[in-house]
Amino acid sequence: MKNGRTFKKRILSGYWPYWVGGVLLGVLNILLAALGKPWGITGNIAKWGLAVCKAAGGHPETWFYVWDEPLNLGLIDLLFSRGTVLNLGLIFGVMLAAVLAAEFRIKKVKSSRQLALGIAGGLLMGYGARLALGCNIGALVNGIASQSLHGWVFGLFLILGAWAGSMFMKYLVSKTGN
Amino acid sequence: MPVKIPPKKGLSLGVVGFITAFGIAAFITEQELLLVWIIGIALGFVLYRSGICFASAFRDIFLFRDFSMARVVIILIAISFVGIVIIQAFDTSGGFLEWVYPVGFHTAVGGVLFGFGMVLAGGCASGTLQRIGEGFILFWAVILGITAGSVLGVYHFSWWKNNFFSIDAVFLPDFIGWIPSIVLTLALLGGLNLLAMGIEKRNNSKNGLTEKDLAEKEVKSNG
Repeated sequence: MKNGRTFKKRILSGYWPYWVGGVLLGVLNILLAALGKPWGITGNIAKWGLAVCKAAGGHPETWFYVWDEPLNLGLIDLLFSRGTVLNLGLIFGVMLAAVLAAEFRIKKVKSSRQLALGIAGGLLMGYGARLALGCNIGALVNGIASQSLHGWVFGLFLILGAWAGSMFMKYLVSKTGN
Repeated sequence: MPVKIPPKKGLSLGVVGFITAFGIAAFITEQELLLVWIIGIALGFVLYRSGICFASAFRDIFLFRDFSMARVVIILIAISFVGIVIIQAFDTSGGFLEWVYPVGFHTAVGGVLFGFGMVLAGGCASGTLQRIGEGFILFWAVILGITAGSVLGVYHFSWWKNNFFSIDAVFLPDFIGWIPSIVLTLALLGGLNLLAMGIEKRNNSKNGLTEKDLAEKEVKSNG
């Protein structure tokens, strides 16, 4: 009985070893692939951006792009599309794990510098993911796992970018001292 | 007597309530979406409890010479690869080619920008969603950035594709054959893993850490 309780506690509020997480993410990714398409995140975020563009009077559906499926920017269709259901599910899965362990807190933005870095980083990630046709999940993990050359090319240059970013952050910290 | 629900309990009920309601709505729209919803929630749960972050996997290599998370990414790719190869082998419709995208100069530029951006923001795409779920206000700004950047990226994509080198999707088995492609992928992933292990071991012996210190470090890093 006591063992059962500690086990439950470990699952709900302990930290799982990295490798357990990696294996479980792999299994979930394979399940998604079996359902038609492996895990991806940023393609769906881009579609929401385009839907806003369209609502504001633009015509993003005429822009040339390589979409994974015919582009449908209707709001209800987009809300109940695979991509949105998956991304929203991820957010609420994290929230569920956090509230079950009583760890959910609203965390405020620390400084204007942090905010500026966040927005700049987000813009670069969004732009980069669309040029590469995927992010760490869609291009790196599933590109390589699908034996597509673009996964390896993305990974190689991703490491270069991460190196440059790390040096930049190091420089920033050494300049300002925090 | 009115039942008083403590605020924390109210939040849990709210999250569970939304998960149930949206799951029902998804099921009514399309049965398969309920499965996708459950898988999405499982992905979030695993990401949060294991603390896996792709941005720090790459950043920690350069800032702390720490390869532990990078090796988890290699494990994730290897497991996905094995599952997807089996699905590809049994799929006669050729639908898997839809997961294989064009490659060219735009892929390289995209990789560099994405890698730089995720270190700046402190989280990649999955990390951003994860931290929104944890309650970080900052990552609402990051996802707005991702959305705006994505729109610009879609808008500019044809310029990058037409003015620089780009070729149609390269599915490796079509070029070098199935067996060589599978062997090459596994060899590269295995090689990268060994390389990471080798550098880690060298660094640790340079720092004078013993196996026991390492075990303690591992326990600490995993909580």
